[in-house]
Amino acid sequence: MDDQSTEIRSNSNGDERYEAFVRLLVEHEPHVRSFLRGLLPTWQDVEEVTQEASLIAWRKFSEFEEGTSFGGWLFTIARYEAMKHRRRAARSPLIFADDVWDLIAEEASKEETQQDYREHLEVCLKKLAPAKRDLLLKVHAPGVVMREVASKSGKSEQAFYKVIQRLRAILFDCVSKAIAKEGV
Amino acid sequence: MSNSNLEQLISAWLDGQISASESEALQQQLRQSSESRATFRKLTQLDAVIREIADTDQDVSITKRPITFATWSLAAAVVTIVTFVATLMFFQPNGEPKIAKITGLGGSLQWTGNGGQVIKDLVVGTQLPGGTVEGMAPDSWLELEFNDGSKIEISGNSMLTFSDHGQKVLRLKGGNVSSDIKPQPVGKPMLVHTRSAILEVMGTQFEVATRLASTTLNVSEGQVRMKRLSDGNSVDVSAGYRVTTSADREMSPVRVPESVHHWKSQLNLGSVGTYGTWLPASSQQAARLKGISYVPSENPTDILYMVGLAVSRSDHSPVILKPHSRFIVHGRLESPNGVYFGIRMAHPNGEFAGKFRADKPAPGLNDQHDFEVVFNLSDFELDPCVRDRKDELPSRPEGLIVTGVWCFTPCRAKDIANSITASLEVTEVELIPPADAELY
Repeated sequence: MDDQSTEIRSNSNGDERYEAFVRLLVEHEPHVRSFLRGLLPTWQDVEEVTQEASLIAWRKFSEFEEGTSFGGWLFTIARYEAMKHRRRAARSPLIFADDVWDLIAEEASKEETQQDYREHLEVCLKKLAPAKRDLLLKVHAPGVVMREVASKSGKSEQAFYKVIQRLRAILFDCVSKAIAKEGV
Repeated sequence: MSNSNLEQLISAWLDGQISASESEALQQQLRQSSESRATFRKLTQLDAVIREIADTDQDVSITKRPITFATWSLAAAVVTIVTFVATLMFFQPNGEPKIAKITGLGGSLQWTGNGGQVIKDLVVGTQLPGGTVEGMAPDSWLELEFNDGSKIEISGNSMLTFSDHGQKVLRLKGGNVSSDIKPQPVGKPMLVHTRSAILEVMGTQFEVATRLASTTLNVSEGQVRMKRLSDGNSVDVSAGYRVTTSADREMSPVRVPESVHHWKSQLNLGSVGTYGTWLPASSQQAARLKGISYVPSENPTDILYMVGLAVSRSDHSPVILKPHSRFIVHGRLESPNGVYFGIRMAHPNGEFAGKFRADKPAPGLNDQHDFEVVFNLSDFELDPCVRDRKDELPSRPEGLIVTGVWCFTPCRAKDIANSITASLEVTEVELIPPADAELY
């Protein structure tokens, strides 16, 4: 996972260091977002904390120890930043209690399988009817408020969310089967 | 709690629709069951990946294994033909819809498809289905034309992901991209994502440069909307204006400053905008850039030691070349070797205007191996890598904007094998306009 990490020491120059960092970040950033998605209630929170964690990682890049996992190091920073972000958030049903949050964070930080997940998901998305796939991607696109799409859909909000839930369940089932099949 | 109920609660949480009682029930389940927590993690990961895919609109993957080409042992012309044929034969990524074709390129480049397929030997005319293009050196550039005639171009060390499934989406992960975009479908503006901003483009000409924490947008025609990710604030930027977005500064467009004709590198200030190993000043030596070795694909028997410097950076005044200007390069060579100097040019609207190069034989070196080389504009000719476009590019660089310079010295691979080393360090590059140039 961190095969590029070993290049860092030789890249002592500022711009080379920057490039080495960007390469590692590009490789690991999607995993960080996946990790944070379980810790933060909205995608906007995830984007904000990912950006903050990336900046902190860059500022502290000289402290990163060669030979250790860049992904693990970045997860640690992201987890801490997520915790700070969560403390600032107002009380809401979306904010989990501390003990639940810690359990999820602890277990999620040990997982590094998101890349496989993406490949399977891409295959499963193709199996959906184009209209369903487009709808699912549309409501997950950046800046899209699901409630607004729901209100324009002609369906009741509740019925709309049911549709999205069903599509998500189909995908979840498809991905789970693909992963299980791969493991056989 | 049944799996179905659990999944519904998690889905409601993901959609921000969970009630207080449902949230309590979900949390209780997560406390008690590691299996439920595993389901929660999988569903949240699924949501994240769907959003990543929705963001880039890349819903298809390329699964062909990586292609490696034969060694570059033939003459350059033959190799070019072999590469072209090989590309045509093998580069058929599973019938993916091709959304853009390469209309110009130079320097070290690579394209990576969604499934990890990597092609380094790109050629003009190659049609691409989307993916990531990366410029690996300061003299790298690549121009892509989308099916609707919109053009984008990366230059220098840049990394750009592009897709078009009814809406063009670019992700600039580092470096520069300049664009000339045709009017886009209503409701589907082209989106340009950087780490700190999102741009919405309906049809215009603009240039974007991104660093880790900031993005600078220069608009030369039309209007572009820029949204800062940190707070969601957005601003419309009109032609002739630029804006820089970062979390710690006000986001308001300012007029692009007047052009200048004199420019001098400032390596003492650090390595920003440079390519090479930056070495700070010491009591004996000025700050300098040490060349990075680089094997040109068109001539693999040579090793080039290359440095590069951005000139008209997007957050500075444009630097325009006046007739009879000169470049003066100061540096140090390990052994007497030729010095090659290149300039990359742009039209005032940001569009690529060619690369020009001047070659000088080995300069005289003092005891410390220091050199000074003067390059008059008359020394420059179109760079070999853009000569096939000479009919459409300006024949001379005068009057154009200098966006970057690079300098290299070549060394034969066999000399390296015989322990004959070459290295290049550059301490200063200065562009001197004619009035000042007469002093030299």
